[in-house]
Amino acid sequence: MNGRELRLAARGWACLLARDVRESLRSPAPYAIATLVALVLTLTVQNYLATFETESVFVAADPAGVPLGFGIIIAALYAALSAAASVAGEKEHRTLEVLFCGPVGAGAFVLAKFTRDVVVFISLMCYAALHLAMLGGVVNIGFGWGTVGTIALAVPMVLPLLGVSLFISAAVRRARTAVLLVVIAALLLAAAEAGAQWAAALPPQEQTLAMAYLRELLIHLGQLLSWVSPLAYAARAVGLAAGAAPSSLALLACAAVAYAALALAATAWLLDRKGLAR
Amino acid sequence: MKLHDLRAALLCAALAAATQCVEALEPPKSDAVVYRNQSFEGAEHKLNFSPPQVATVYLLAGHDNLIDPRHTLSYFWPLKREYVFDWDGLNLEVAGELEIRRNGALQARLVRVDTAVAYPDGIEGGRSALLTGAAALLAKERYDQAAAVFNRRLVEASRAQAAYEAALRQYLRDCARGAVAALPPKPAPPPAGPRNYVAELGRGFVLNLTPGRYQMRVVERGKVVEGSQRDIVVFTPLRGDAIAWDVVPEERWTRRLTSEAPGADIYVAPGITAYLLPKAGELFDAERMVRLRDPQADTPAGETVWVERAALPGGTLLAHATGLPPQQLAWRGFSVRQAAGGAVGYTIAPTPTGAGKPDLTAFALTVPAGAAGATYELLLQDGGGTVRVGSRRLLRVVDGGHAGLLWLLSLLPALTGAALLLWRRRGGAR
Repeated sequence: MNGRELRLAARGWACLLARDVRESLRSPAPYAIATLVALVLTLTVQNYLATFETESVFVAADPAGVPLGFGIIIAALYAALSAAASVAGEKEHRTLEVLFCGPVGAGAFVLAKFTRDVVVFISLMCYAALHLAMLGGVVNIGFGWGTVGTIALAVPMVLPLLGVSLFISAAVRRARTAVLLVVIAALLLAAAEAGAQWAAALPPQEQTLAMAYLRELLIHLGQLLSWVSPLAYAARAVGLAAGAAPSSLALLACAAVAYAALALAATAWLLDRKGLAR
Repeated sequence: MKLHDLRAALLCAALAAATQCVEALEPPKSDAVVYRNQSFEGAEHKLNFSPPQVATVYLLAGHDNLIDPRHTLSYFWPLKREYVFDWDGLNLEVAGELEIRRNGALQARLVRVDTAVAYPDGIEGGRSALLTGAAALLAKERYDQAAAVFNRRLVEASRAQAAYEAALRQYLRDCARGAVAALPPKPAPPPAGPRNYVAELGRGFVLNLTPGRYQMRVVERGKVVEGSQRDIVVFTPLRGDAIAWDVVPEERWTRRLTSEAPGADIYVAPGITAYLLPKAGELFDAERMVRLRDPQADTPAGETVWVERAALPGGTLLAHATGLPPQQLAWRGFSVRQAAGGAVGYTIAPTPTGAGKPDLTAFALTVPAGAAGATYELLLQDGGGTVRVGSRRLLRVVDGGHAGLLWLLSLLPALTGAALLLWRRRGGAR
């Protein structure tokens, strides 16, 4: 790709991104999701306040962590579903042909969709931080710079989820199918990870030999999923918000970014290979 | 083959399979050099075992640690996912000298010495010291003598108590009969046990190293004992000047909440009194501290852990909140008085001078009922008037009286979205 093609691709990416962000802002969905996030945060803060009906003292290093974890789950799921609907939606509405007739390539198109979803996620998280700051000001609960740091750490962790959702979206013909597949995949992965955590929590001394081997198998499966499942990366972001230590954070963030890059490359390759076949 | 022959053959096969299953549960044991260490973990020495499969031993810098390599039988126990040891099967001292090297250069060559771990405040006093050589032998001898005297006196006291109870029963019987009898004298109270506990004598190498990475091995007659090589990581706290605060709520004086780290804010309701007790604290790399306590523990890298140390009595607590008068609180004792009669409840009041030992000694911070929304900055000042580093905490008085406003704030995005959509429909975005 020479300089001119690169400039054209960048311009195409910018135009598509601006169009998609504008469309997102005009849709009621982000406002509804932001309201949902705000309501969940408020409910959690109300729960903190309810503690004082029976207690007079509590100590918390990061009271924003738990509510922010909920915020990350909601925002990440919304961004993933939005990504799932995006490419398939363009196919369904036959707008992909128009786009690909112009200078926009599959790479720029996929990157624009991905960037839009990242922007949506970051916007929702920024709003969550702003809302927490407002709540903190009213009730005098300390939501400080740690909240901003947590959001910054959460962003790379949700990238694989968005990338894989885009890939699924590119692989199917209808937006509804893509959304359904993403939901089913997320549920299956969540069930597998929950199973692995349940197995790890079983006291090994009290298990039969068969159960002990099953436990080992599930623990190994959980270890594999922690690197392979996009949901596991998003779950780490929730864990970070809830106060888990940022162990090997740089490695994790690099792995998440590389995972997302692979998923995006695969999506672009799939679109190139399938062309406009629906 | 007849049917009963077939049955017998099947039964034999099933029994053989069952026998094999049972045999498969017996783990194979191997001779191994296991380090049985008494590692100092900041306040006390803790026993831990380091098998050959764990290449690194973690120790705190600047403290005496007892290192005791021994031949024993080691095997992996899959249910616990760790190596365990058959000390009854084999438990032999590894003969030789312990060589300590750093980047290949010999740092020290140690010989085994007699050792004993002493607990000056008793076994649960939270403090220990490693005694060596003649001091260990002498301390152990003195403790054994004191324990023998205590046991003898305890037996005598038990006998005196039994005699007293028998005399008391006789006195009550005499009184019931109407006879005039003298009340038997009470026996002396049982003796207090010796405080300075000294554990069993042992023999080992005493290591006290500066921070860094070392290598150790046992050398006997110029030859390295196979399986005795280990790395040693000697470390210090990441922060040694931190102060943890225990907070005792007024309504549950037996319960303590701890603010370990400077970022752990204390939240209180308005109009209460909180009792604050400072303690020294140290921040460690969690992996190192956990592996010092349990060499086979699995812990993710990069975490930190706060370890609480001794209480810091005395000094003055400075409490300052914007808009409220600054307070200088003294360290003082408080007594808990149960409510009179059958009523439930208690009051906490300062212990008058000479009224005996207080139930609680702390700084008492009373938050005014109208201080909702205020944030106190707490600082601990020592006897010389210097503010202790790491003692700063924020104590926030929560303001729970705005539930309606909180819910209204949550609807802001919906209202914004609705306004934007309405504006667009009316042609605002043309």
